[in-house]
Amino acid sequence: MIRGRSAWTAAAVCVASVLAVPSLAVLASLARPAYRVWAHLWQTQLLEVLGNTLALVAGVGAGTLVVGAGLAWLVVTYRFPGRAAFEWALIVPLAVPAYVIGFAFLGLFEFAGPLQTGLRRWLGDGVRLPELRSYWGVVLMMTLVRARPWSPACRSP
Amino acid sequence: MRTIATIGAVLAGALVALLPSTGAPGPAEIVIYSARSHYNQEPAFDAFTKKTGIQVKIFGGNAPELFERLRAEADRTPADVLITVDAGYLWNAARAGLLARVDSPELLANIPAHLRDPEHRWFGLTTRARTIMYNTRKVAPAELSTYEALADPTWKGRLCLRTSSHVYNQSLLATMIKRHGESRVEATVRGWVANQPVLINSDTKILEAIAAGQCDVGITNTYYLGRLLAKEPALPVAPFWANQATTGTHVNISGAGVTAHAKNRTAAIKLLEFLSSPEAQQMFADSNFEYPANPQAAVNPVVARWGRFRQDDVNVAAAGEFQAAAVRVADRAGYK
Repeated sequence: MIRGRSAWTAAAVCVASVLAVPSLAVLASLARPAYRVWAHLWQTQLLEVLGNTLALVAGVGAGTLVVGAGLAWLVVTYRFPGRAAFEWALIVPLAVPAYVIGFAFLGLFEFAGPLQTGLRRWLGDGVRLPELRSYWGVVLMMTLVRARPWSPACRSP
Repeated sequence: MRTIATIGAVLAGALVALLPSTGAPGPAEIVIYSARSHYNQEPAFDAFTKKTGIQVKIFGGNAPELFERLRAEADRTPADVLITVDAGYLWNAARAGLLARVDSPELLANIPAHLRDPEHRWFGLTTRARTIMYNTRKVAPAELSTYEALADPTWKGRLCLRTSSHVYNQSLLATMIKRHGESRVEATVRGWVANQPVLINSDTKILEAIAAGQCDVGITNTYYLGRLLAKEPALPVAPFWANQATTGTHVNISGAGVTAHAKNRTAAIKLLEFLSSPEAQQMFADSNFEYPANPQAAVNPVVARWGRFRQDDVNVAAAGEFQAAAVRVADRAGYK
């Protein structure tokens, strides 16, 4: 029994170390920092990029908390028609890579996309939707992709 | 008895494996690492196989991936030929010692000097012009002149630009830096940024944005417009040949080199020579609306309508030499 378990552990460690190689290679590159590149980044855009990252963490964190936890709570605590379908349908967005959904969103909702083109044709040339290539556009996108209903159904298939 | 048969088979196998290096008829297959593989099976390669009987096996990937792969495989690489888009990548591969010098009179004659490595390690196969695109309903060609002039405040809020992280714009800036130096180019880029361009990381989407009226002008490669016009001939977008009175319109290449450790060097050179011939150049030009690198080949009719233009004849190696400088200039000027 114990031998069986340690064999599994060994196998798992083997697989995990293979999977870890790319991450380790990236970390190893930190051992030889390219000082000139870092100095350039510090002078030009590092602070702004870090600021953007923190702002996105805050925005997407809040968004997923409300949407993800909210939907999960509704599905778990309430009985309503279609609840069983929602229970699995809410996981579906996780199966689609974020950038694919990002492309689809941009394609549909950007200025030259079908929705805005239709709106301009219908309501006149001055009609504009908020720019999707913006902070709030990215927060919305990433929230919708990452909002993960953390219900018991998800944990035990 | 069985052992002897096995040994015999192994020996025969070894002999067969040795044949190519002992001067027997050429190999039946060459291997290409190609960053053009997303253009699907290109007719020029089929034509080569038909003509020579040499099979062509293509492994796809983007240029940085193929570069790393070649470097990691070193002398064990199966690749005989590297094909990439953008001269900067070929320049990098040559500098890393991944490409071998090829002194083929045919290649040197077919490909103009500014579209190939001065040290003959890579050669342009197709030329890609990156120029100003405008909405034909909102802009008169007379309003346009140079890339630099798009920094003028008259273009405020009317400009669509590709993000600076993309190699096409890095190469454009790199050749401008080679011509004019960093500070002049930085002033131009600051002007572009001051005009609050819409930044879009796709040439096709920039053209669609111009057609839809989101912006009046932009800078893209011309073959993207060729593809759109093939689908929708009435699209109100046309190219303006930039910098005709000054440096000429910026061009880049997709091109190829024979790898430093090619196992089938002779066949690889034969392939490159064929791809540079007017016959194959015509196929490249027709299948993707690019300009042939060999001036003897004609352009596609869709492309011919845009007229002739003067190319910037600075060697496209500048795209590699000044790529880092271009990135720094863009960062300093706040061009994202």
